[in-house]
Amino acid sequence: MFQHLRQCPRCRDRYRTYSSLEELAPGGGEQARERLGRGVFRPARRRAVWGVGLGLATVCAALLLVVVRPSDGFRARGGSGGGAGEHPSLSIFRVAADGVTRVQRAGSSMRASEPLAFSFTNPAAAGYDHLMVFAVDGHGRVFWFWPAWENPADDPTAIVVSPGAQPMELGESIRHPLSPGRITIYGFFSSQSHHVRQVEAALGGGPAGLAALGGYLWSESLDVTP
Amino acid sequence: MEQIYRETFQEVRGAAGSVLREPADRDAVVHEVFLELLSSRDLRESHRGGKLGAWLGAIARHRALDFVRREGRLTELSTSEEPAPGPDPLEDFRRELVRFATRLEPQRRRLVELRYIAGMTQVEAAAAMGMSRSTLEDWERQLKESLHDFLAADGDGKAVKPAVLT
Repeated sequence: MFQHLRQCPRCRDRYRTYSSLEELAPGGGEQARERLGRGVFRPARRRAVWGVGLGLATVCAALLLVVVRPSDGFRARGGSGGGAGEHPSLSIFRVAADGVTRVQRAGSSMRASEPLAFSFTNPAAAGYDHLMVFAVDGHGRVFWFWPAWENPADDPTAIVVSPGAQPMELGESIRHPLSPGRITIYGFFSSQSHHVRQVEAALGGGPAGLAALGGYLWSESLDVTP
Repeated sequence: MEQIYRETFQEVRGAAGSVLREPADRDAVVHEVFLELLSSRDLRESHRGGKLGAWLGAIARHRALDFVRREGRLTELSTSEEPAPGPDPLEDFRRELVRFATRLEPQRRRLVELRYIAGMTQVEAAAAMGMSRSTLEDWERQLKESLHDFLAADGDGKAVKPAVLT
């Protein structure tokens, strides 16, 4: 919910009104505590969708009509994106769990319990204004980072991103119930507002399936450790 | 864990709210801190004694400041600085609520006064107004929507728009 609130001004306004009224009413603090507690102790599970027959192992970059960057390790925060100045790119950050949100440069592996955060560069020349970030694990499960997909009844669309040569952060770290093993993280830049179901359907034939949607596909693989 | 949550919630929320005026952002940080506490043994083991509320409050404040910095870069691409002090957002909201109430018909205005200014419970306010609690609850629901529309449509709603403070 909070991830949605970050992106939806109307819902933020509504939350502000309701939350402020709640604070003014007697017992509002306890009510807020109960309300937020439900999200902490019985959180809505971030949807992790099983793709059908993804067969990622058979993916061959040469066959892709969209560009799939080979894994070349994590780039530094604010990096230029692997030397492809005209192409958009994503950077991945592990968020340490030491009590202070210390965003640090990621390594080539992550712990299953660690949230991830992202930044992106989106050169104006590339002409993209939408972004989707998701991961696919070795079992073909798809984990959505941006947009959030928390309600199976919804079909959220790509987030709108501004063009810019400088890195811009997607301001929230996100944790998924990942299993140990290899995952591949994708940043799908597009000039259209695709839906998550549409992308998952396209992924049915592997990342190459996204070619039909157009756009630019950035990818990075990392090992998830227990 | 739920007991710790109950006992420290206000302190954590207050700490996050001392940095983030926007309720959605403040509560997002609160949610994040407790979720982390619940799921991260590393975090729990980093507590070296002392009052849990103060410790979690300090974490919440750090998280909130980090949130501000991240948001600052996202929107302005500039290095963020410490947020500037600002007025109490709840006081701003209260003023807007009073202004909104003046435009309501007398019974609805009285509902606002009893519930959100005099601080009566629904049961108390319903008794004072001579109506059932369920009717009052229904009125409140309508009132919230009207207030939301009022604030959204009225440019002066700026007073309760998001900002940050230390």
